[in-house]
Amino acid sequence: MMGWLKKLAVNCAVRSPWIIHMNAGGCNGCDIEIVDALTPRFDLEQYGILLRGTPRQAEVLVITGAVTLQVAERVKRVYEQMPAPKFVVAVGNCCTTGGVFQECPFVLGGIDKMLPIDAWVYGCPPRPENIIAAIVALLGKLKVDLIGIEKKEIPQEQ
Amino acid sequence: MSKKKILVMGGEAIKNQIKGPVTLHISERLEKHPPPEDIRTIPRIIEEKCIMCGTCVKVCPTQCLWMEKDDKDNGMIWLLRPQCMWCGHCQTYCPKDAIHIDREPSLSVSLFSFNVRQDYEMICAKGSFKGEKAENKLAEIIEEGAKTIKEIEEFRS
Repeated sequence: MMGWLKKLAVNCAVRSPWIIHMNAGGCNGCDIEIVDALTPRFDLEQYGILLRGTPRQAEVLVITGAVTLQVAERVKRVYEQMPAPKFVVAVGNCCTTGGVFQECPFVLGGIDKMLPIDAWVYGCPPRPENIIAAIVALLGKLKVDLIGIEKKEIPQEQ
Repeated sequence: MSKKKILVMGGEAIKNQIKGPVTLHISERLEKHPPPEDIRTIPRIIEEKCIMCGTCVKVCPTQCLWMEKDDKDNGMIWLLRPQCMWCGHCQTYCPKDAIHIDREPSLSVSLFSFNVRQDYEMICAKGSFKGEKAENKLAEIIEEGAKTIKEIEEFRS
């Protein structure tokens, strides 16, 4: 009974992930590409993805830009405000490893020094197709992971 | 009020669960609307033309290229894929025109990963550095990436 309910819940969560988009000190290039991916030509809403205004309604946090030291605490606060099954996607070169700013003393070299990340998207800026392919691959991986956890727990109880 | 909201949200989730996707999938879209021909992706090196001068390594603005070589013209070059920003500086400054920027549209779509710190790629290996030696060095670099991942996890907690 519980396994059937959990599968339904996982399927529902994977089919309608709502995202919040945050700029952590970038140049707005990646932000424009994300907004471009939400337009009808590259239709992100075909996967049930909606852009929300507050972190309390969102499940996926999309971060762009090199993370400056001033904004790092705010990024962590936004991450803590999200409800429990939460995932993070880092978009762009600055957010993955630091990119051009990696020797700057006022910048963290990559957002993974701050939060646990689920997927990285490369490019400066990345193409909208690249962002869509990454999110679709992330959703497939999440489905396998979430149902796989349930499979692993059953033999431990016996 | 909250019960009504929960009903609306659950109803939408179940509705999305039952009905299939309406628009085309991304893989079908690529065949009908391919990316433009002048798209740039990561650099490639022609091994016969390369003389291991190291100009591309000095010029790279994001320091994504690494080189190791001996006294002669033998050596190897790796690329850290998440740092390369496809600018094409290495192509313009190469004295022998050995570097070209890859223009495959399918590659530009697949440039994402679930593990940044270990995503290295061997671009070029010449002479005695070919074969086993190159593969061993690549494995060493990937192990170092695993160490940095552990350090970052300690730093985070």
